[in-house]
Amino acid sequence: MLKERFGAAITGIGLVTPAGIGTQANWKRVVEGKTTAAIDPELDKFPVRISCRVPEFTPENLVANPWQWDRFAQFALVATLEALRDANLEPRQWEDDARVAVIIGSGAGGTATMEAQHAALLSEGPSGISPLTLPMGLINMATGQVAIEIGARGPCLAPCTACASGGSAIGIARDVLRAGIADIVIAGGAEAPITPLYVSSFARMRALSRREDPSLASRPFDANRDGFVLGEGAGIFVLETEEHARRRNARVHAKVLGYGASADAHHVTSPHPEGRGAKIAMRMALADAGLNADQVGYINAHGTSTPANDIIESAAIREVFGNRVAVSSTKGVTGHLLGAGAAIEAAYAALSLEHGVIPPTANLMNPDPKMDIDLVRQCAREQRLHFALSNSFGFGGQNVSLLFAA
Amino acid sequence: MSVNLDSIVQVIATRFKIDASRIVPEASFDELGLDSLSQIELALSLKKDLGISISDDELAQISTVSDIFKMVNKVC
Repeated sequence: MLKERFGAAITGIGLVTPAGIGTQANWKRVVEGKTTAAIDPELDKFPVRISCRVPEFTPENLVANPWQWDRFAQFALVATLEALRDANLEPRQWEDDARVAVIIGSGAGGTATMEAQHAALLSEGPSGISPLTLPMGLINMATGQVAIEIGARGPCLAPCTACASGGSAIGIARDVLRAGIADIVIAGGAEAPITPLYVSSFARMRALSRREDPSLASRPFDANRDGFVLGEGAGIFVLETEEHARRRNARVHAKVLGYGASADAHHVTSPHPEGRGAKIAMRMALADAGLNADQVGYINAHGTSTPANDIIESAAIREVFGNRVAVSSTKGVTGHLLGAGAAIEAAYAALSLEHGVIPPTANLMNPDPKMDIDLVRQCAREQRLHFALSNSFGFGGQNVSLLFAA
Repeated sequence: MSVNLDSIVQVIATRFKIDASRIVPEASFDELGLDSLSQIELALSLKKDLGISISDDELAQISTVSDIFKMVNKVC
């Protein structure tokens, strides 16, 4: 491991989530702690009909030739353009386009495209499928199409670690800057998984909440939680070396200071019963940032609202950080955006540092008594923060912890 | 078979979300922003919506909206 401490400056944030389009709308909604889960008319025939959709997303007004882009890539582009505006950077007007990297992770990629084209293959045969199947469906196309659109010619990749993908992207982006390979990285995650195949697959695993009332379905850390609610969207950071940000007088929201990544090496979906991988990732992020556990004021937990994740994650946090750090999960508001979740939650963690406000866990009415951690619930907490951590854990037992500094 | 120009224009407008007023007979695929993959996609839409079959070889030889019209309606 490189020993020298290195922070990547977050100079732009772009968010397209069920909590709204734009960072302002998002921050307002997560601080209010109002859930976005609702009955989804498109899921009429499915065993689970609740989802968290991006509200009022009209790609035809936001993207040129939207028919060439799967929904997950549309989300990525809209979030990227917002992040660039926020960073006061103009697409295609780079000082050196080879020094601009794009690293956008996804778990499911263009699954809506793949599912529709597979149906066409079965019903109409090989000549019935669209030539755009792969250019829209591949998992690396959000990152690829964004790079084309903004004219970025540096390293371009799409990490896939399931629900940790966006976190991997931000961690790798920080390392790309630290290694001196780029000056600017567009980094985050994008996901559009509210599709027949994904909803059915998660439902078959009994991973999704089946609660009657959708507004109470996503309830991380609650004693009565019964699964997650599927969400969609994208979260994008503009990251720069601090020197590059300083040179152009960029406003810095916060810094990515630590990156921990690990594997449970235990089971494809169940977390390790003692949270071994999670603890490794959190400790690695602390060590990478050169911090002690007691310096961290807030943890934006993975907190999916599934029975298994929340109990094991809370015990892992308790062991590494004790019970004085404030913990919340914004998935009560947004649902679970899979590979994009890690990225939007990284943004919420950064905004917590910037505003000195910790968003509450929506719907957390009866905290599970087995959890001995300081859960922020009911209303947001004002607190001056220096460091915050964000956890993301993916199927396959792949874990990412990111540490942010004010 | 006979297919009128308007229905071809309609298929292009719907599939590619292009304002129909831009789809004039002499408009080239390039001008409409349709690259080579999109042209294959166009052939697919014409087949599904209007029953028009355009082979890959034929597709390689046409470049405008009016080319489609002429090709579909040619008598020999």
